[in-house]
Formats: sequence, C-alpha cells, structure tokens
Amino acid sequence: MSHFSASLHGFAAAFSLLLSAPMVASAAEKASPPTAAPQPSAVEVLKQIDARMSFQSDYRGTVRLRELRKDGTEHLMELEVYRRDSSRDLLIYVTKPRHLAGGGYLRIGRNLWEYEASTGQWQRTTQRGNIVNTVSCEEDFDRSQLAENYDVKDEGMEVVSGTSFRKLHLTVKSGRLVSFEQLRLWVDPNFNIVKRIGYAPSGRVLRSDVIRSYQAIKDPLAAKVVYPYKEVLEVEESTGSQFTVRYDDVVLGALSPNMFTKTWLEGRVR
Amino acid sequence: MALVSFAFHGVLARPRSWVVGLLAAGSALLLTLGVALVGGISDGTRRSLIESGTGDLQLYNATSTGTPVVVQDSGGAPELQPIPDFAQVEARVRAVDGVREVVPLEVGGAWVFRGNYLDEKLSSIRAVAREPATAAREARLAVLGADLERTLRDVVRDDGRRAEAFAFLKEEEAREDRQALEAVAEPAFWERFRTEPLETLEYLENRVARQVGEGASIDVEFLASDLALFPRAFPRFELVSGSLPPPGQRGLMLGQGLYEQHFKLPVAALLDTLHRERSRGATFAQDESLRTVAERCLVELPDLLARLDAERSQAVAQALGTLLGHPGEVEPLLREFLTLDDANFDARYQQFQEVLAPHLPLYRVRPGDTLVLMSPNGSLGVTGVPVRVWGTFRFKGLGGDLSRVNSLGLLDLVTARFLANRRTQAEDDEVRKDVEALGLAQPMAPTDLALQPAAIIEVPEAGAQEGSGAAPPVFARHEAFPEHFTPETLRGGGILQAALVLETGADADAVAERIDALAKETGAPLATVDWSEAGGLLAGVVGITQVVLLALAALMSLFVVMVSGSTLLLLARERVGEVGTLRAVGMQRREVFTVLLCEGLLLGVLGAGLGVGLGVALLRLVVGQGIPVRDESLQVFMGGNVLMPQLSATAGLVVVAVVGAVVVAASLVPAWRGSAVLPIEAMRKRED
Repeated sequence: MSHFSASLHGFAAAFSLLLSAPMVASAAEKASPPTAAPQPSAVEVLKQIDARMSFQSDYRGTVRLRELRKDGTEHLMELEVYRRDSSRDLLIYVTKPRHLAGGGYLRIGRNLWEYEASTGQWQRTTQRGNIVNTVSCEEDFDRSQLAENYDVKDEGMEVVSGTSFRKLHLTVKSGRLVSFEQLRLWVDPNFNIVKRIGYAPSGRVLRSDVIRSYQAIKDPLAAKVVYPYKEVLEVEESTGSQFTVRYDDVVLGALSPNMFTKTWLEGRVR
Repeated sequence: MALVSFAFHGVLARPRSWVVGLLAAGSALLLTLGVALVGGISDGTRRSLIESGTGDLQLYNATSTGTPVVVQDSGGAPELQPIPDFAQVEARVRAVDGVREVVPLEVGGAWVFRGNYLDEKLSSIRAVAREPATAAREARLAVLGADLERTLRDVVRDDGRRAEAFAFLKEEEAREDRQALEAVAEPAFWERFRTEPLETLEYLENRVARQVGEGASIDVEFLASDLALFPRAFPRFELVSGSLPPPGQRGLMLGQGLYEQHFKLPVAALLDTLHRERSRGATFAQDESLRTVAERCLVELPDLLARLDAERSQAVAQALGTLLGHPGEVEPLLREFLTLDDANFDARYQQFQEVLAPHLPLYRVRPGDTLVLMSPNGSLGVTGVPVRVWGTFRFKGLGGDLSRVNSLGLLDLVTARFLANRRTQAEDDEVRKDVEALGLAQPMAPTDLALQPAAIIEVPEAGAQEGSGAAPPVFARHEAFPEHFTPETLRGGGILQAALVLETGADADAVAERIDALAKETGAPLATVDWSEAGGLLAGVVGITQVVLLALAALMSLFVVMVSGSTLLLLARERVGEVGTLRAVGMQRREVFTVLLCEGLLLGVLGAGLGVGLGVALLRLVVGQGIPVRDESLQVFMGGNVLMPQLSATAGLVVVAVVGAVVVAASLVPAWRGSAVLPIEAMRKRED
C-alpha cells in the first residue's frame, strides 16, 4: 500500500461521507411517497443524487470519527473541516488526538499538502492516483460524481418493515479512478442513500457503510435546503474495524478567503 | 571373515571393478566440498546475524501470535505482545548461566518524505520568512530571494523536460502552469517577494514547485534498541560519522548504506552506481543500463543546480572551467562534464570526488538535522514523529554499503514506541473519556446495519455571515513527542523482544532450556527463538543452499547407482564359471551373495574414504585461509569478506556412510543375479 493512500485512508473514510449526497428537499420529503408515481430510471436516480450534492456556499464542520478495532482498542479522531467547492479548496486540521493536534491537510487547486504541527513541516503528497497499488483518494475530496464515474444497473426493490428501498449496482466506467470499482447502494423513498457497500474488482467486500441520519441545512447562496450526513456507521472488512462518524456543527456560509493557505493553518498553533 | 577376505581378493583380481571405487571417490570428493561450503555459509550467516543485532537467542512473550524477527520480510514486523514487567525479567535472564547481555529490541518500518528540490528550497525560505522581522532576517531573505530567482530561471529553462513529464495535463492546467512561470519571471513578482514573502512563497509552492515533480518517500526499515547498550553488545557496530545520541535523548542513526543510497545528492549517487558497475566490468559501449544511468545524471542536473547557492555555484563553475579547459556558466559546464563515456568516466569520477565534491552539499541530511519518520496509524491516517539524526553507522565486514544490515536505521526504543502508536494508560483513559463525553461510546450492534429510512435532523439556519459558527480552535505548541526520556521510560513502555548475547562457548540450546525452566518457575510467559528463525529471509538463504546441496547429492547418487550397477552386473556375468566352482565345492548361494555384496561395500567405503581424504586435503591446501568474497552483497552470508569452509569429522563420516550405502545399494541386483548360478550350468559353460 502506498504511503499516500495509507495517509489519507482514515480521512478518506470521513470524506467519502462528508462529500457525498446532500439532498435537495423534495416534495416527497415531507409526505409519504406517492405509490403510483412512475419510478425514475437508475441513471436518473444517480443524476438526481449528484445534482443535489453540490452546495454553493462554503462549508465548515467538525468530524468526529470513533474507531473500535478488532483487538478492542478504541481510537478517536476529531477534525475541523473547511471546504470551498467553487475552487476545490479543502482544509482539514486535527484537534484530537492531542499528539496530532494542529496538523492536517490542505488542498489548494492541484496541490495536496500534509502538515505536521510539532515540526511545522509541510509535505506535498501526490496529485494523481497513479501509483502502483494505490486507490485514488482524490475523489474523496470532491463532490460525488456517481453518474459520471459509474455505470449503473437497477437491482429492483428491497422491502424491509414495510419500506421499499431502491437497490442499485454501480460499476466504474473505464478510465475513471475511484476508490471502489463496484458499489451497491440502497436508496430510501426520499432519495437518501441509506446503505452502501464498496467492492474490490474481484467482488470482495471492502467496506460497508450505513447512513443513519442526515441534517437539513439551508444553503444561503443557492437558497435551498441541502442534506449533508449527520451520522454514519462503517465496517471495514479487512481489519474488522468499526467506525462511527459524526458530523457536528456544520455551517454553510462564506469563509475567509485567507483560510485556504498554509499561513492560516500554521497560525492554528501558537 | 573368510567371506570378506574372498571379497577383498575378488576386488584385487578385477581392476575393472575399481571404476566403481573411483566413482565413489569422485562423488565423495564433491560432496565433501559441498558440505564444507554449505557449512561455511551457514556458520557465516549465523555469525553475521548474531553479531549485527539478532543475538544468539531472541526472547519474547510466549503468548504472542507471531515470533520475533530482526530481519523483516515483506510482511513487516510480526505481532508481538509486550514482555510483562521487562525490568524484572531482564535482571533474571541476565543472571541465567551463559547469558552475557540482554538487549531490548523492536523492529519496524517507517518512511521519510522528501519533497522535490524546489519544495525543499521554498520550505527553508518559509522558515526564515516566518521569523519576527529584524534586519538580519531581511538580509537573509534578500540573499535567499536572489538565489531563488536564479533557480527559477533554471526551472523555466527546463521547460521542455517538464512538458514531457506532465504530458497528462489538461490544456487549461498546462496554460495555468505556463502563466505561473511567466509571472515569476517578472521583476514585479520579486518586488512583491520583498514586501509579502509568505504570500509570494505560497504562490510559488502551489503554482510553480508542483511543476518539477512530486517528491518521493524513502522507506526506513529500523531496529530500535537501547542505543547506549547496543554498540557494546554487538562489536561489529562501528560509527562512521557523527556520534551516538547521549543517554536519555531520542535519536536516529542511519545505516551508511541507507545514507549513501537515499540521502546522497542524486547525481553523486548515480556516479557511484556507474563506478561500481564499471569496476565489475560493465561498459557504456555494451551496457544500455549504464548509458541510461548516465542520462539520468543529466536529468538530475536541475536538482543539483537548485541546491547550489550563488557562492557554491561560482566555485563549481570555476573548478569546472579549470577541469574542462574553458570558462562558462555553471549549467552548460556541468552538462558537458556529466556527458560520460568509457574514455572519460574514470578521470571524471575522480575529478568529481576530489575537485567538485568539496563545493557540493553532498548529502541532504547531516548529523544534527531532524527527520520526520512517518508510520501508518491504523485507519486514522499517519503518525509523524520528528527525530534527530545523530550520525551514521555500519556493521563492520558485513557487505559494505550494499548490505541489507547496513541499510537499516537504528532508533531509540521511545521513538519506535511513538511510531507504533502504543499508548500509555493515561492516553487510553483520555480517549475513553472523550468518546463517552461525545456520546460515541456504543459499540455497533448487528441490527445497526439493517436497512431503515434515514432520519433527518433539522439544523437552524446560521446565516451567511463570514466566520459563522464556533471560532476555529488554536493550539499552544506542545511537545507531542518529548525529546528526552528517563531510563524508566525507555524500558517501561512495553518491550516486545530482546536479543540475548551469550558468553563465548555457551550452548544456545542449553541456555534456551534454562530460560524455559525460569519461565516455568516464575510463571512469566517467556519463550526464545534462535538466529535461524529471527534471521528471517537472510537465514532462509542457508536453508536454500542446504536444499540445493541435497538435490545435488540425490542426482549424484542416482548417477552412481546406475553406472556402478551396470559395471558390477557386467562383471558378474563374466564370473559364472568362478561362482559355479564355488557352489560346486559347497558354498551356499547366500554366502556367494554376501561375498559379492562385500565387494561393493569395500569399493564404496574405500572409494568414499579416499574421496573425503582428498576433499580434506584440498580444503587444507587450497582454501586454508578461506575463500575471499569480493562481492559485497554476498558478504553477509559469508560472515565477512572471507568464506571459511566448515567440515566436522561427523560430516566426513556421514559422507563416507552415504556414498558407501549408495554403492552397496547399486551392488544388490548384480550380487543377487551373480549368486544365482547353478554348478551344473557353470560346468556346461566351461565345456563350451
């Protein structure tokens, strides 16, 4: 495994969720879905999800990621996250655990930097997921582009306790770099992804995520409500680690233009 | 007895049967030499490993799922549990008869990230720019700015190569890159640098530095120990440069091999490679790989130029002007100097070492510098632990700078513990407290993963004013990884394994038994493995040579059986009359069979004895002082630069017994057939 993917791996877990599917409020949201309405096609569902994922305002939030490892040890990571999708800027810094506090990641355009707070050292990490044996983590820092990255096959409906979930199987389009070559999604009647399984090309399960809740937030610039994640549970197959990821204190609103700079992050440590 | 004497006379009377004896002698000679060489390799590898950190035995916690290694294979370090109450165990094991030294160890892997040459340059300027404004800082920034401007001119000049390397760029991205280069060529940009150094640096870091490559990681396989004790316990350890860290201070020693291969100026390292290959007989004319390496010297030229400040650059230009016989700019002069072929290489290599090297920053890291060692932290990203480099070391006589054992890093145990993310109880408690306070303490239940509609949580609108939400936290800079430690910290944070160095002449198996007895007596979960297990891949090579020797012996035995068998069968046919006469005078078939078999045994044992004797004489006369090993990469298996073949009396006797047995086996069929002659048949044959 390359160092790059190792280093971003944990953050990837948070980001793939963080950057996915905020939902536009739909008429179906408030009422129970009309049973007789014609089903949108699988591609339509993806496009709809992708279209809803972009909020125009800047984003800030606190991500809390608790990991319970197979050996019973417990780990906690707390990250402050700042995003500006219009210019693809991203800043993350660690606030817990204490020995990593102040360090973080900064993406400015086509640069991705890692910052080590105790030495003040910046490291450029690779721009392209073109290293042998690496999975591209670039997508974890971007808006979800399900419709652009994947071909989709409808797998019908799965009914659990009276609720019908739309089941979709996604296979990566050739030439696209993604973390999971295949995905399976379960989408609830209100167009929320509620479960997602990522597979290796061989079909082996890599990660299972269950999205328990979303938060409804008004995007001031787009003047609409969007739905970023609130709480996500994950199981990583290879290590057996269980994650609970929670997105707290999310605010959509303009951030200072000086925020996405090395100088700003360096200023977090006195 | 009479039968044996019969057999003896039978052998003497038929010189043609001596072929079998000679065959046995030849096989025994070859096997003797083979056994002695494999014995030498086994003993050499054993000594190399024992003397370079493995020790005679490795002590570990018996409840671990893995067993300790010192030489890691590709799977990385094995899973070991800490030895409980190590300080007490150490004292007890040290008191065991035959144990001279107990050296706590930990093995692991980390990496160091190295940015491209512009990244490195810009980061050193950034450090100056962040200092409080003083006249001295301004002066240094002015010098660094001028130097940076000169370097960037070289980058622009290198535009052609960059276009090739980044051919994957989209048109718009390529245009952005070109614009950035044009912008930094303007005097106005450097005016701004003087007034807003941090902003302009950030522009350079994000828009320009990216264009000269992505940087690289250097893997550092390390052996961590008590650095005050390690050199005492392993006398092959020698300091090459710098010093050991003072007691109680964290530090890293780089193996000289690692230092030469990965921390040297790329051009200098490439020239070393060329020099090494040519001394093995390779030439530019015949080897494309050599020409490729020579071309890479030119590719690395911008890296070298970027590392020269104005003063060094001038000195190098002057020196090159003298060497090449005409003055000029440093870049074309270097390009000319590094255009290498068979005719000029030796002279140029010598000139580089003697004339140019003193003006160059030959290594990227020098004793006193700090490196950040990175290691994966499970699923939570990466831990970066800063550690000071105190010097470089080598294990004497174990293959120089190409040897595996000299390409390691040697660390203190405390830094290794930081890298392994082993937490103290206090840290565990803090995580627990935080998890509970945040309401994240529930372990997942299987029902959690069942399908259910997602809940929607309404968040009140925060408004679009800038800086909404809580203010970003600011941290007081604290020492996450303290530089100093106490002796209690060094041994108190969980020791995973320890090398036991034994007294001269002590038997490792006997000591291992004593430690087992100690473990039973005290109830401590202690176990040991010897060098052959802890040596991992390196020790595995010994096993491979043994397998090869066995395969060779098996093939040779088959050959001996077939040739001896057919020779003896031929001779048996000629002896029908003789055997018939013996049967006529009353000798039983069984007795005849025994006589013929004894002949085989005599031929086999005498031949094998002769072969082993010859082998021993050859070893004494020809390789009495050992076989010199010039290939550095083999030295670690030979225990140094001389291979001493090892042949014990037992091994000699085993060779005689095996070869004798093979010849006896080859005699079985001829003896059985030869003894199956009826007297009447023999008489008839006589009459014919």
